[in-house]
Amino acid sequence: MEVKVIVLPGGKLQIFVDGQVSFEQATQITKTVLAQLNAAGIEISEVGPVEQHKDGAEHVHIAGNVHVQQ
Amino acid sequence: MPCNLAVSITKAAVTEERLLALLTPEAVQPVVEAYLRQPGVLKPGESFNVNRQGNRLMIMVGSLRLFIERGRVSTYATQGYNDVRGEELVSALSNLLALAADALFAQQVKAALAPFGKVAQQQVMVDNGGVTQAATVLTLKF
Repeated sequence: MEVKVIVLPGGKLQIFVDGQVSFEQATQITKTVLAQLNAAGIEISEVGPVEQHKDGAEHVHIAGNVHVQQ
Repeated sequence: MPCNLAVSITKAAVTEERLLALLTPEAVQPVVEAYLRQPGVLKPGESFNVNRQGNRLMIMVGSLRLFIERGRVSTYATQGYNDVRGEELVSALSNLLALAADALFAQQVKAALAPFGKVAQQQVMVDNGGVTQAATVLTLKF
């Protein structure tokens, strides 16, 4: 299973969960990630619903120019 | 991750105030100094000096005085400089600070995710509702 947290300009985040997990499991993982961010002092002020991608949730698309930092 | 593989997607955000709070004088000073040292940023004959004054930075560019406090840039023009140069520097430093805040926030999120294991980081360009933006992708594998 893989979790991607995309950090966007202006303090915005999008959290993607992928892999052999159910939507319910993905929802729980997302909540765990959000709880960890809050526990680390990152006060999340807005959280949208956990959306199923197949339902057409609007989200960012990664374009070219990927630079991997080791 | 190609988005067609995602099981779920969730959006979240912190307040602008929270983001700007990352721009402490300690964090901002080296960023501003590195920027002002870049060729072409200062006009011929200009020099700069950056000093911390409590919770703010004071930047002297020639006889022009600029202040940065909680991510906000202001200026106090003195003789020999016009408003245009002051506005030019305020605009440039404001843009710089916005980028710095985004970078600091990404590092803060990365550090917060570390207890889950190794966090891979990628700098990418994203299409966000038709707007191309720079973004940081943090990946965790469980």
